[in-house]
Amino acid sequence: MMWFHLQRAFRFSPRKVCGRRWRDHLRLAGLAIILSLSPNSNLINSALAADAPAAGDRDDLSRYHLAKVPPGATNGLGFWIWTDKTFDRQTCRLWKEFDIPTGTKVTSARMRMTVDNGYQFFLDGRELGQGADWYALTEYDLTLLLPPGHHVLAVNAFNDFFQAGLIMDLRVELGDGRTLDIKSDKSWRVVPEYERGWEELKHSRADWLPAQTITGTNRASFWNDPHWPFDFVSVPRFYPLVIPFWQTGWFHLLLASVFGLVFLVCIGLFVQLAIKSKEQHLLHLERARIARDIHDDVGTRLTKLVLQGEVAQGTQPTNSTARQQLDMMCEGLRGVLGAMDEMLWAVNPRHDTLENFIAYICDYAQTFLQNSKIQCLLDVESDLPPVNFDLPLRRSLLLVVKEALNNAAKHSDANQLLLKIHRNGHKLVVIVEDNGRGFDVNQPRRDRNGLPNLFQRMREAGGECKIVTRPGGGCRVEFSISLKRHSARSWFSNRTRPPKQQAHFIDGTASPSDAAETDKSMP
Amino acid sequence: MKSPKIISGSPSPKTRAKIALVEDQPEVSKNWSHLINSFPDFNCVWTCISGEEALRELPAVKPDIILMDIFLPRMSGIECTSRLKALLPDTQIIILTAMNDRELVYLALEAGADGYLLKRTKPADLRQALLEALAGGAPMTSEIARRVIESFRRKAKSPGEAVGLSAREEEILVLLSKGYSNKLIADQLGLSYDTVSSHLKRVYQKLHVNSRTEAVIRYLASRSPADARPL
Repeated sequence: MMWFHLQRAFRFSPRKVCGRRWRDHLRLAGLAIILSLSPNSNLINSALAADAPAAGDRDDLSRYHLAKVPPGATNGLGFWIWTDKTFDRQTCRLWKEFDIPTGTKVTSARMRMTVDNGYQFFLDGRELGQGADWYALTEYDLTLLLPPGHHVLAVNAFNDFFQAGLIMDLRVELGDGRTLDIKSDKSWRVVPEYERGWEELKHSRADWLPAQTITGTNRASFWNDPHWPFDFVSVPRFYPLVIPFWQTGWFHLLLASVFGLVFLVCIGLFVQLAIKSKEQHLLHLERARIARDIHDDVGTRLTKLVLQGEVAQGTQPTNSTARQQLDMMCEGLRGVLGAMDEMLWAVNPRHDTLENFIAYICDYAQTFLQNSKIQCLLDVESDLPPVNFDLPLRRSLLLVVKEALNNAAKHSDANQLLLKIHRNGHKLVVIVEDNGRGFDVNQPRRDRNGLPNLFQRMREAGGECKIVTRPGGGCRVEFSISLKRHSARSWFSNRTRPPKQQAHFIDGTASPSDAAETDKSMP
Repeated sequence: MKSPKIISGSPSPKTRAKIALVEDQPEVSKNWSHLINSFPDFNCVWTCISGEEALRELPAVKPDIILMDIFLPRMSGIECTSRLKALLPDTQIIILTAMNDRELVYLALEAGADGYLLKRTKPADLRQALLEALAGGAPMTSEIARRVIESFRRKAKSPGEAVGLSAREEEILVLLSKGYSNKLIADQLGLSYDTVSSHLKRVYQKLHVNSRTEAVIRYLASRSPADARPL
């Protein structure tokens, strides 16, 4: 058992840190299990027989070991103590609290201890060492671990078989010359088995029984051997634990709360996202339903009315008032149906794409200019990105394009109009350009009230509007809107910044650079 | 309910073009046939209330023009168009819609329709459209031209049985998609108006063929591999 003892004793390097503690617990538990699970094992018995010197060869053994044992090794040791009962394979928890007086310094604190048959000991909850067996005495230097104040020595002691006991002495020398002697005696307490975390308790409890000193026939005969101890081990000095901040409780708590917070925020965001996409989904369903209703119900019925009106017209004499009124009714209904076509297009979530939007405004422009003298030409960039183009945006853009077309049809006197749609970086650019008479931007006419509206609408949608014109030089209205920002906006729609004011009114004659832009002729 | 005007000044019904109507709502159907019969050159000879009925009866009637409602009970107007076109290749099929739904219109054209009309079209415009159809005109808007180009380009990327466009056809489609009218295109390319029309007609036929090929491929793909192997 000697190897074991030495191994234990030296394993505790002075700067042992917390991490090792659990490993050592396990190791000790392993030992206890081996000891307890091998009932009457020949192996252990023979091992013990070899270690525990039999009567015949004790002298040789003593002589051999005595060389290492310093004189006076047993001086001041207390009594052998144990609980009131002793049995084989027993665990006994022994406990002692003591105080180091304040106002002075500990100059030396040395503890000698052994247990028949093994122990594990704690000072103020910190496990300092393990040892076996009774025949050797181990000395620990606790000088640096005993600042003034309350301290607790806790020993988890094991008995393998036959007699059991703990014997120790802690000699504390103080700076003022006083000496404190803590010995194994009846002032030690026995900690009951049900006590949990006992080695870290600061004070004993009232129901803990005092330890018993072992006297008389209960004493093992070999404890009385004049040559005892047969071995002496001095463990290097212990140093106070320096716990790095990342191993302290508050840091763990902080870390855990930071992680917890991050986790909660993530969950929150996910939930928000889920709700938002759910809302979006419901909104889409609702829009699709409205579109269907407009189509199936209102649209179909109004169409029937138009047909009926047309047939009714045929039954009336030509140029009669009734016929004219019926004609007006039919025209009115066609207008309503046309407006509903537009609503249907706007409301249907199927049309929330850039491609669809472009197809719509091209078709709109052509239909709108069909019966005018303006020829409508289209120039649409192919390979535009397949991005989402949501309702508010396409409605705004449609309205401004319509306004521009309307202006051209009413005032420009042009014979050609180009609707150009292309991408410039991440921006979608829509240009309505006519070859008409243009106008002087410094003298806005009353009938051009629509122009400020264009700027206003584009600002609200987060885009830009630019008008380049001069008298006799045609008119070019350019709308641009970011495709990228829009897709980002739909995610964080509730925290959009107010769009910058970016409307420009450029007089074609104002500056050379502007003039250059204006000079671009129609194809 | 025939208007006295038709009886008095129109050619005999034999010289009038035969129109058939496929429409599930009786009132609409009645009013349409009334309007058509009021034109001097058209005669509504047959009305069906479902696609199934149309497939059963119209091949025998052999109308010049079929006006097809897009929303019919059970078989849709689009499917019915596709099947009727196979049975009556010379008949012009015009899709009728209550609302201007471009997606549906394009699907119908792909399925073989020769044009589309809104149900609220003015009688005068309706007559004009019917006359154009009768003359074999293949009206095409810029939007449809653009979609047709895209559709053919997509198919060109995936080699298969798809029929490609000729250079001239593509040229005409590109100009159409830029807003040029048939007349302007004819001027620009030095062609006659009728040549442009006949080119467009062929484009429609190719579109129809391609859409059918696609439909067959889709049908085969949906079957299990074991079923598909014997083919």
